[in-house]
Amino acid sequence: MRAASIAPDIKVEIVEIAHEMNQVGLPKEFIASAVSTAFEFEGVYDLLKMWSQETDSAERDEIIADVQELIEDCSQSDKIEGVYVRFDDLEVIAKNIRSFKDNLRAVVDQNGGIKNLSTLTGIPQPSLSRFFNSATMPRRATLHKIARALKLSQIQIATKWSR
Amino acid sequence: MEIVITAWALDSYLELKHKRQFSTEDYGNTIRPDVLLLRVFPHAPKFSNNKFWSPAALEGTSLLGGFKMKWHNLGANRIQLRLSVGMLLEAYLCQAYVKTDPKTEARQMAKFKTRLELIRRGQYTECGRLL
Repeated sequence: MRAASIAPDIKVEIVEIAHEMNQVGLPKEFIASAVSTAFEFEGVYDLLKMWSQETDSAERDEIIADVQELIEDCSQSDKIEGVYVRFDDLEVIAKNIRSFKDNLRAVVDQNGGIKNLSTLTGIPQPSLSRFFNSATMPRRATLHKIARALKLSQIQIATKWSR
Repeated sequence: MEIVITAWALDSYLELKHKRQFSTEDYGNTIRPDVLLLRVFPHAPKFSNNKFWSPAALEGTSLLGGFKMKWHNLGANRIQLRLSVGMLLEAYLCQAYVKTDPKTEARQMAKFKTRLELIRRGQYTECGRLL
């Protein structure tokens, strides 16, 4: 679904969900990005509908984290050649990433915690929680947002395993 | 057909390995040999078995070019492992995940739908090919 061909009633529905998101206090930067991405990608619109219809708060948080992942995915404009990783190396890399994120989390906690970081970066709390609790490769854009928000040096966000 | 490993697939493998959802033996004996069948797609009997291979769908609508490879009761944890695969010019490994409930499945399909579109548009990261 491209923005140009999206049906007016769906656009209105997306805007209404955005209003609902605003009412529950999600960051405005996130809401604006979610709307513009949903206008272009039907899968994001599907997730917004799921969020609106969901009553369980934990499940809603998972949906928000998924939407944020897709906002970041959809912001990539070209094909990129990433690093090849052998299966046998996955465990070591996962441990390395966890160690990096745990150290960064300690710095975040010294600076007001996840809630404050969410306010400063515009990244929803469920997304930040998933970020810090997972072994997935951190995105450089996310690391830079965190660094800017907490006035960290490049050294503090340096990791071999980012993308 | 060549098998492309996307960054999404790599990330999901990292997470599953970190959570010890499957072992090296599960990967070497079951997952990898099954995924390598994609090289001869559709000429392997397993692709006719809908308990192993089926179209991906969201709210009853199939995702164009989207399929799922499925393992039931895999390994010591007896997990329901799923691998979403985009069958376009190549076979794109998109995301491995443990199916736990219908809501998780629906979220995964919405993500897969978006990522299939990103692959079509050439907006993705390739982390090598499975040989």
